[in-house]
Amino acid sequence: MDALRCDAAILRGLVLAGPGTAIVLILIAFLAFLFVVLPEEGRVDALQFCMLFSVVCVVARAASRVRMHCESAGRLGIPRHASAMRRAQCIVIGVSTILPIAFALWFGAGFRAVVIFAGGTALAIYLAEALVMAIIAAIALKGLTATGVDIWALLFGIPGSTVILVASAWGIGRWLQLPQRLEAQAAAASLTFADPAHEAIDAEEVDAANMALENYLGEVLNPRALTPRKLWIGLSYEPRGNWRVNAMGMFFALLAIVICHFWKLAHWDFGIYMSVSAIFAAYIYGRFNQMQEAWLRTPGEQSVLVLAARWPARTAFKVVLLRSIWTGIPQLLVGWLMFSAVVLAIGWIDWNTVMLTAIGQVAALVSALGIFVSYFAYSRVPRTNLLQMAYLLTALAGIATLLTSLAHGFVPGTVVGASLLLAPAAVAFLAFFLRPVLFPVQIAVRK
Amino acid sequence: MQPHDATPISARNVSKSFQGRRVLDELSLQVERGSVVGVLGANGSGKTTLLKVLLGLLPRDSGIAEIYGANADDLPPEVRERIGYVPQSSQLFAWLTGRSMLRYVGSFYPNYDHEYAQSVAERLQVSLKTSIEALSPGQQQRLSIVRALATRPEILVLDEPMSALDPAARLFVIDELLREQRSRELTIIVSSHIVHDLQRYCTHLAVVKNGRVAIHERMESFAGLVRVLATGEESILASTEFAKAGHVRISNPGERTLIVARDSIAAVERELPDGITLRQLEGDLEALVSEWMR
Repeated sequence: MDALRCDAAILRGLVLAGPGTAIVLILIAFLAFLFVVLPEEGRVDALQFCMLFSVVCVVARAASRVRMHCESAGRLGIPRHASAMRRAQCIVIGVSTILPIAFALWFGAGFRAVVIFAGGTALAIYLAEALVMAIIAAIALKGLTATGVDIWALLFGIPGSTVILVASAWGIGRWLQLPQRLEAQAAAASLTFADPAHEAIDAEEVDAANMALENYLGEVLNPRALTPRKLWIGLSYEPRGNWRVNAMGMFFALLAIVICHFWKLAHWDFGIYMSVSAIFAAYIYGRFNQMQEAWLRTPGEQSVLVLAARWPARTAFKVVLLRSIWTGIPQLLVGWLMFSAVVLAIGWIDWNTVMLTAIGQVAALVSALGIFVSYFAYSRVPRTNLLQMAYLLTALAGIATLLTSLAHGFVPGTVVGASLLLAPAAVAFLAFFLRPVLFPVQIAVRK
Repeated sequence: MQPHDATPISARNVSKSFQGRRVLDELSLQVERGSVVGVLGANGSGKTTLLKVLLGLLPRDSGIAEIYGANADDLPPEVRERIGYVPQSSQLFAWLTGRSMLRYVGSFYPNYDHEYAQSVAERLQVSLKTSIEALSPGQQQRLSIVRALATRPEILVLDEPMSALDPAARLFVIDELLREQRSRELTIIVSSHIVHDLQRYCTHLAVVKNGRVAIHERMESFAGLVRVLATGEESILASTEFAKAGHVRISNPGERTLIVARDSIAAVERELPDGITLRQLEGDLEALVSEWMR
């Protein structure tokens, strides 16, 4: 019974806790969405691909959490944690790999599914190593393609399948031994505490930390009204957008598309373009997320959060907050626009794709803004992110519906998608601006 | 012998080195059941290493370390679940909320008391709904103490548990520790730099210096010790053996700071050669312990 309790606790931690819940929900929603949208003849292949994607996401998430949980548990010397973790890993493999394999075999996917899911699981476990392997594999595949070898036949033939299965089994087996090893290492990891130097402050580090904000000292000391930049500096957030980083990002994006195009694989243009656009969109969302974290985590967080019950009463402050969230975002948008313009000018991507992606970027921006504003529209300081998770799910469903419907000229879908995007954002903005009316400030009296 | 009847914590001639630096050097320490031992020592003197070795979290190079008679390096889970540990770093399971972390950790301890955890967390004003990484260091430390206490341990090991706590929280934690210690004969070993706090709740004090336990006595014994300054010609001082002094330090040329029992000052004085005078120094327990740590 105790063992079951431990296993349940670990499984909750590995798969469901935190953003993991959102990821699982998003994957399920995405699968359901595809199931409805896709034509019947393509469903099995698409479902197999989607299941593989889900497996990779869930296992990769679980693998990183195994590492984090074991490191913390090892430092505390929690009894029976490593053995319970191993059982939980087996359950994760069973549910996220063996079950899909059985499901795929039942659907008539054949032995290939076993190879794909086993390989996918092993790659998800060793994601960082897998990225390096992917680059090596891509070069090897390029060489083999040039010699006329059928890659798929090679991979899914008996020798290729055997190699993949043996390597995957070895990798999964090694992963199952990780908790014991990691907990022993984690307990010894804080050896630095034996070194008295850990209690001394490095003078250079202090200087370096202060230099980032030193440029804004004049503005901070200026007694004029509150500016967006002053607000973020007050929260110890570095407000400057980084043009250099954005320019480098754009350069590498162009480099990637040029290399792939001239690698006699011009059909990758679309994929690279969409990937780069998705990365830009993710950075835009990440910017909002960083700001929200800065708001939560800064040393003065307590006082700011206490004040948060009162400040929205001032419209001017709300406007400053809204203005402040644009820091860094124009650079990202300009970077993406320039990248799109170059690719469009060369003729590797058509107008429709660019327009569709631009709508996707705007949709991502609106959703990110809405999610950010919704954080400040609560009646009190939010302690859980359930509302934001729900918002994220709705926004993703909205973006997917809008883009798919636009691509197929499906008007009702376009309306539904746009509504899913705009309605929550409108509600969040309304709540944000009407907050003192909706939720009158309550004076907390300490007993 | 049932482990329950054995000495809770026992270390004999334990040594541990890091990259050639000997942090623990043939250190010995016995902690009896129901005692509260405060471990003091200068920064980097090896307090954390000692606690980790005693808990079996760090393998020792040589010597014997036992918890309830079981080898610390290979503690059975039945013994390990009777130990509560508050490490120096409180940022563990940082991605979880306080409540999730307590639920997670609690599932591994059969005696874990959720209601007690909730009650202590409320009294310590720890937010359990916030993710641990978003908590301030003081809040993280409070949560770490809640976690360790809620496992209802028989041995509680605390590594500088109150360094980030405000005075009110420190008093609360001390009261809680004392209550637990009295009601359940909880054995506590705590490392700290705050001597006044240790004075309030420790039954014993141990000072770690140069990798060894320089002194390990009941708290009452420290009340009978005083610092004494011996002054005189350096050549005479250098040839004098302060046999009755527990500690002798060359504080300046022509000066020795001694720690002696209050009632043996006269005896020390009688044995001194001519030309050396003794003067009792003012100071509290902190000054006394600081002298030992130098």
